[in-house]
Amino acid sequence: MQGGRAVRARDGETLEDVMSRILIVDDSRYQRQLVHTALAVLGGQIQEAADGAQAVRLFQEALCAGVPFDLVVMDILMPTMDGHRALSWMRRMEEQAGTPLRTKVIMLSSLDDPHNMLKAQFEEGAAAYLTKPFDPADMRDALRALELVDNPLDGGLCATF
Amino acid sequence: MRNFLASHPDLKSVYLLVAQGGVYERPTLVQTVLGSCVSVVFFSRRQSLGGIFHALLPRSADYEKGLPNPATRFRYVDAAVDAVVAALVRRKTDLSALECKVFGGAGAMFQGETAVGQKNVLAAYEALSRHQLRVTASHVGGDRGRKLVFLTHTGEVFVKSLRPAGASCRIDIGDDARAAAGK
Repeated sequence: MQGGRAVRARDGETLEDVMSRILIVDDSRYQRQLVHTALAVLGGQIQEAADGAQAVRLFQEALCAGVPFDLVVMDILMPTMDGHRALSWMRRMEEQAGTPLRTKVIMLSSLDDPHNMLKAQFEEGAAAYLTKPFDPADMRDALRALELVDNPLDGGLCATF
Repeated sequence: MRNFLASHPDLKSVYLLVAQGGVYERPTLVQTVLGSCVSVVFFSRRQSLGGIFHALLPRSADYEKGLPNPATRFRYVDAAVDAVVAALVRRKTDLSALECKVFGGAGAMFQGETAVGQKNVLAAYEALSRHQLRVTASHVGGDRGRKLVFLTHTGEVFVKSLRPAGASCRIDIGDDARAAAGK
């Protein structure tokens, strides 16, 4: 849990209730393992999917069970359903379910062209976009920016200036 | 950040305003705050050398005629990318190993300016692509401004999303943007 947010269950909650729920989506088992390692700092429950369709199913199950994912890290180029379509489906499900907060999504792809980066972040609401091969330090920076791990900029922000 | 600076007395600290930027040879902590504006962070790991700008508008040709104006080069995203890349080339930076990251481009903070952020980000992606530079990470869009801190000698970037407009820490980038654009 070093660097991760302190997790403390309140009355009526188990520790499992408040831990981060993470979904890693990539058709490469090796890439999933790399992401898994980079996300170890979060210390949450990690599930994996090998394509977009499987990811959408897991996302829907979690949403219906009332335990949506806190973070999805997803590739774009995958068989059956690509990351763009999968994320669009996830956003539609959230809208239909009326969830107040959208799941934070980091797109992680070898595609580094303006079209894919813009589409993911402006049309589908991905919070960050990393290109492969990724530097674990960049993943850490992204987790900080998404307020999933402690950020040195927290506290005293206004007073700094 | 104050504690950080206190523990690193050799570190220079710079607060980047709209339409400012540069390449920093000495270890420097660069801070800036972004709304619809865009910052691109450049880092050469081999030289421990960093560059950054804070630009307001997407393309210089849409606002200024003639040759690029050195006085306004960091006002426009495309001209700012050109300026930082030129400065890095002068320092013999290997551009093929350069790490570039794009931040900012928030949309819904300012009424009537929802598309400006997206246009700024697109201009950054296109300008970097024109120089065959790869974007390793980006954190753009959304409806919240961002505070960004960049350590030029390590390449580390700290980003914090700001509270929505209306909160006590609100920053009226809209007025700054209009002033810097000379409108």
